[in-house]
Amino acid sequence: MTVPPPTMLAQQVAALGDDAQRHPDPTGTPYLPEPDLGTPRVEGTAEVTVSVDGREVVVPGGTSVLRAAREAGVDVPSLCATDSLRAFGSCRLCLVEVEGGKGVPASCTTPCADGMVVRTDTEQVQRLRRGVMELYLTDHPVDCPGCARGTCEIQALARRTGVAEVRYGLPAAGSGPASRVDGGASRDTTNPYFDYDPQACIVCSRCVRACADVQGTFALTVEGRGLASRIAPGPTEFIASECVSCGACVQACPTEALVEKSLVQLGMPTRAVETTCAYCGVGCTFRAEVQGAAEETRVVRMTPLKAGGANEGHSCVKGRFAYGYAAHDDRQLRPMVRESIEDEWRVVSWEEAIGRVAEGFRGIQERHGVGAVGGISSSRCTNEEVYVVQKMVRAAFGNNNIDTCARVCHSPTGYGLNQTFGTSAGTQDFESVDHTDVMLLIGANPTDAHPVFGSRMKQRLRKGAQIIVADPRRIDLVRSPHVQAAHHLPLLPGSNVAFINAMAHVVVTEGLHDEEFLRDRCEDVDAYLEFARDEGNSPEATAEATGLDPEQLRAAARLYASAPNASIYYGLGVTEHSQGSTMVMGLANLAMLTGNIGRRGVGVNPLRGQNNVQGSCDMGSFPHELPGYRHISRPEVRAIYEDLWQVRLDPEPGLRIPNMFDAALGGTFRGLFVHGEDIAQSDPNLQHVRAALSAMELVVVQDLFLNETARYAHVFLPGSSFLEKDGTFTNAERRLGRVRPIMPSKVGKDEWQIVCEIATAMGFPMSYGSASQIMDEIAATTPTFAGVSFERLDREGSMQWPVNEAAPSGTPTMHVEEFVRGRGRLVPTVFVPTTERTNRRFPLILTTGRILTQYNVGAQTRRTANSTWHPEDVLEIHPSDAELRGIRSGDTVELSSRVGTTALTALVSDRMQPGVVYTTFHHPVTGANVVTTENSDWATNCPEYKVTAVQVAVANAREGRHTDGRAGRDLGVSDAHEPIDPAVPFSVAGSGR
Amino acid sequence: MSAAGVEEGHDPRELLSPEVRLGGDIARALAHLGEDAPTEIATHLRKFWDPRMRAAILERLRAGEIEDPLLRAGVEAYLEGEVDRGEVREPSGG
Ligand code: SF4
Ligand code: SF4
Ligand code: FES
Repeated sequence: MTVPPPTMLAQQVAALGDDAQRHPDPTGTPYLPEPDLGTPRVEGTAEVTVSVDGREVVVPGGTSVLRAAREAGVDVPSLCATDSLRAFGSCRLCLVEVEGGKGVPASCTTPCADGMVVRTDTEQVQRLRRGVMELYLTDHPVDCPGCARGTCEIQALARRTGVAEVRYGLPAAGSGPASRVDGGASRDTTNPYFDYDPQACIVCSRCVRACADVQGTFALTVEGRGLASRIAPGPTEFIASECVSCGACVQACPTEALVEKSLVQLGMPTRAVETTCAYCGVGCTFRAEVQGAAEETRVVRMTPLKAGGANEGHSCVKGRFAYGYAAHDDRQLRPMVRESIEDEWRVVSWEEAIGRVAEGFRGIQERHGVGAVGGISSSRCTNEEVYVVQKMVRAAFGNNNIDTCARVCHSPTGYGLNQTFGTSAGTQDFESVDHTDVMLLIGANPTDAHPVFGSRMKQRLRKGAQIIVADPRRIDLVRSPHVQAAHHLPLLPGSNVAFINAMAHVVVTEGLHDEEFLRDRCEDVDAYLEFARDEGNSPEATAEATGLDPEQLRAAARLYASAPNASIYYGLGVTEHSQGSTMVMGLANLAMLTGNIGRRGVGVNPLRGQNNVQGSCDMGSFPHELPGYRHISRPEVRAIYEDLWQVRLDPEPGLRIPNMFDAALGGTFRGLFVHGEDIAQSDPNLQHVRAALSAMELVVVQDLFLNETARYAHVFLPGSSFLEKDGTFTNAERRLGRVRPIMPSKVGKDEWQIVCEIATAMGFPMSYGSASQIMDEIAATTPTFAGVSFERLDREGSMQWPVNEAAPSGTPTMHVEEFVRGRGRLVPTVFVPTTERTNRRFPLILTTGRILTQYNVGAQTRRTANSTWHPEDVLEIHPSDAELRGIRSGDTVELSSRVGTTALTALVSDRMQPGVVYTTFHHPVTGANVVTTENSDWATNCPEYKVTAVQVAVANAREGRHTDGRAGRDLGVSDAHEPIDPAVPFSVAGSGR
Repeated sequence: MSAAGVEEGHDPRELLSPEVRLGGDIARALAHLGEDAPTEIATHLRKFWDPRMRAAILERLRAGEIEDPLLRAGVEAYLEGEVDRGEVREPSGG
């Protein structure tokens, strides 16, 4: 039996002080488990000095003796303690002696006091520990596979504590504590990603505490007593339980009672590479634990990194487990071309594909003008890739027809926060929520869409902070175990601005505003105060629009305004409206009005959807802005790039995505490069989008899969997964995190390299030796990134922009002394109702959102076992609306709007209010965007996804389920592959297809 | 079909050109600015619209197809070039 050497902890702890270990080079470092210091770090207390086995160590007062010992490099054995959880003191293995103290206390629950002298290895301690260990061994299977692998700590601890034999007799092979008592509880293998083996469980309750304290789901409990006790996900199996598969329990388990299926199947990793999750805007840091090298690399598992700035050791089901798509058979690994979109694809060489793209775009420009082509960059790609795509468009295409998928999600955040604060980004870091007293959450559902941050919010709420949830739907944060919103304001879709004005009205008319802050830090104050005071903005006057009880709104406004620290968190329920930009300004107004800007615990925080929405916007993906949000009309900014690139830049803004579609139908826009975005599924009014794509002469798609947009493409360029990329992502808190390749690109070229080759073939030579050189160019040309380099990120860890001379290590909180624009600007936000209204034919309002296990258009998650939980999109409908239409849960219903019709399955649910229906947009077969309309935010063209007037009726059949609203044509889908083989995630082989 | 030629349940604005429709949204959003509104509309067009969109809306203006008086005033202000270019010195967003 291979047992890890007892000195492993010492190695791990030694590695703590070693930068090379903490931030390994891109190829990773030999696999070692992450060091575990036993109990959480203590902050904000005076330092004390203690002596452990003669070694002096300085720690913050209140730090456990166990942690102090480990920090001093003294290996005290432990089982029930781990540094992600508060100490519990149940296993009694961590006993020590304290000079002058009584008995042998558990070091994990004993706080350090100045001058303390601790002995961890006296004869008495050793004897007691051996006794404890023997008891554990009698209950542990001798043939424990985890012990053999080295992931189960029991055998190693037995050696470490010097237990040579067990006086009480070892259990028979194949038996364990539970089996001896309850006749053999069997393995629970129902979760697609991990197994639970009660035989190996030592009932340390680390998993139960992780589920409660870290994740906040409370799905696990200890059942039974004494030797019969075991942990259970409620009275059911894992798959049917409340478990959200975040992996925190597996991470916390010291044995292999909870273990990843992939680890069992593939065995121990040999190498670990730190990287950033490629799903949502939380941007969790992970360790990719892998086997093999180069093309033969296989992912054994992804584990969340404790030092991760955004996640601090936590994860969700997407980042932790749903990486199997990267090795899915559907991945296209070769470039392909075809003459027309009716033809079959033809696999070609890279040269031919790139030549075709370059000649095609140049040809279109010769025939139809320089502005007849453009590109769309991706919020899923790295900053470096996005930067080169916008550079290709501006310099090689010679126009500014560059936009990004942020157009359809957070472009109003860009506009609104710029107008009011002077920069297009959230004001805080995630840690700030630990210091807030009241959160106003609007138009976001963090427990599903930003799960790791959602857990952090719940942690804070359990510690006593309060939350106001403004959302048409009763989301989990309204009420879930140990969380109860102070107010749920179920406002009607489309009434956000009326709502925020009413909040401001209450604050101003009740004298709750912060006059000093307004006087010292803001401008246009009087006009705004007068606007807010207007009776038309009172909760009573706006009640008809918002559907809210004025008294409850008043109470919520008072709660927000009177909190010492109040913060605003918002999502796409704010931006994706005809007044999205106005609403963002309204939120900024409210924060300024109450002085809730410029310190920890406050602020205005957009929760970004995709992993790199923030970064793609920062990198100059908007048609009117160069990197760093500088308008293209500014000659001195253009000059920076013109000098460097030796090319003249067009000073006029280019087309935004919806304008590109309109121009395509108008005949002036004929060629499009689409980088990693599925516009034919994700954009609104799909009939219009598809007609526009069909009207173009050359559509180039670069993606992992042949997605919906590829149906309209003439050239397909295969992309690389995040496991193959070298670069950075910027998360919702402006944090630049490194993305490191665990294997070379499966398609033979990095994505930035392909873009450079297209530009070069078009006559604008572009080349870089590595992704880090691209970041160097970004840093050299963009003041907010001046201090960023791969070398620094590798050495110092992630950083929040601005990183420059004024903030050499980055900026966790913005607008501290003054706003980026000097004074914060208060903007009157007049409520202008959307023109999308219910009527006799379409009497319901449809709003859309996301679910935990799926991600956006689902191209990745649908190709993993995550589909176990969400195999299709469903339409949530209130019981009274359902009854009126004779609809029951499970019925197939037809959902129609003025622009289109689709079919999906109904779920009768009182989470919605009457008159409002809800669905997600993860599956192309459902095609929620077949029904969404052409309406958009007035300032940014961000689509109004969140308000569509619809009708719902029981459908007869699902044949031809997408039709055009007028002509009734079948629109069809292509990316509707069958739910995946659940084995896929576990055979994440690097060997290709 | 209603008198305006719009199917029941449909939005009459569907019949407008994309530029006039979006222009109308902008005019409604900025109407509260009173006499400053036309200049603000013109600034917005210059700052965020591609030249071909501006050309298209000018064509609609010339053809007398812009019914919304405020949008008309805004497009006329654009045409006269009385636009505050100073604003683009600020970061612009969105
Ligand atoms: S499953 Fe693991 S973490 Fe949970 S109680 Fe058992 S041994 Fe401890
Ligand atoms: S919370 Fe977001 S970034 Fe973190 S693991 Fe989940 S999907 Fe990835
Ligand atoms: S580790 Fe201290 S009692 Fe278990």
